[in-house]
Amino acid sequence: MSTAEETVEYATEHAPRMQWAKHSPEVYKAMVRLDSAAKQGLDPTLYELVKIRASQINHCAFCLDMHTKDALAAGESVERIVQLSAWEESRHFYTEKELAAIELTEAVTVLTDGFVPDEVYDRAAQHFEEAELAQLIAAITVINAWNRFGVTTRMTPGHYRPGQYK
Amino acid sequence: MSRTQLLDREVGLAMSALSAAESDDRIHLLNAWEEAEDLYSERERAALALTEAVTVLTGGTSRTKSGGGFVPDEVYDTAAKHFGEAELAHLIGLITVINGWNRLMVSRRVPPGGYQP
Repeated sequence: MSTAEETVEYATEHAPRMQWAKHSPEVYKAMVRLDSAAKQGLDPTLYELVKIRASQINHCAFCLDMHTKDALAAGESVERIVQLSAWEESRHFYTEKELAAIELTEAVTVLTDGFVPDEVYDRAAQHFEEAELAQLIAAITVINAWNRFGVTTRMTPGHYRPGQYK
Repeated sequence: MSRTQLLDREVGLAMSALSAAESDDRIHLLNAWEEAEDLYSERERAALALTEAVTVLTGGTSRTKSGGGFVPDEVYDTAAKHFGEAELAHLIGLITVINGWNRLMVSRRVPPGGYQP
């Protein structure tokens, strides 16, 4: 039997640079606690969009593997995930509240280009009351942290199963 | 602890360093550490290079001038020469944590100036 899958040769999969959770178990456990604290009070659908967008910008392949699979398993549509990297041109796929969160996610993620603009913060503040906004900022910060561990230690994407760490 | 206190803790560390062991030059020239070769050890330089790479994950693609995001092999490998694996794991944790505080403070525009070491 010959199928297309057998004849396609993909590039070689890389190994992770280190098993950081093994070397820093307390940091890893603190990250898990931080993650569960940050998502409290946030809509899970919105939270996955935030995690996917930050992971796209930070180029965390492992995180993208994880959060797109989790989002799909939770009922998110393929279209909304695919369009997320061009959300400014596909605004009608998202609610105004989601758009405000995605925009804030980008600003907080790309700090090295400078600050979080007033208009971005103010728009988020229109859609999220202050406690929820504080949780959103924390959630964006936490996925940025996971992205840093994932990219720096070059965690390998492709093997995640939905809900694996839950 | 107030928001201001959190940010100012970082400044305070620098101020404590200024008044104690750390020299003025090593703090003032940190922003130009690549050009100030005699001020920082090889190990410190490896940690500074890793700090920059882990902080600036978002830049362009591998074909743009700013580089491709990611953490380059040469930066990681140099750090791995100077730090054992467990120590390196903790260094990565430290860099990630200050990146987290940076985001929490910049997002809410916490004013500087009131921190006491």
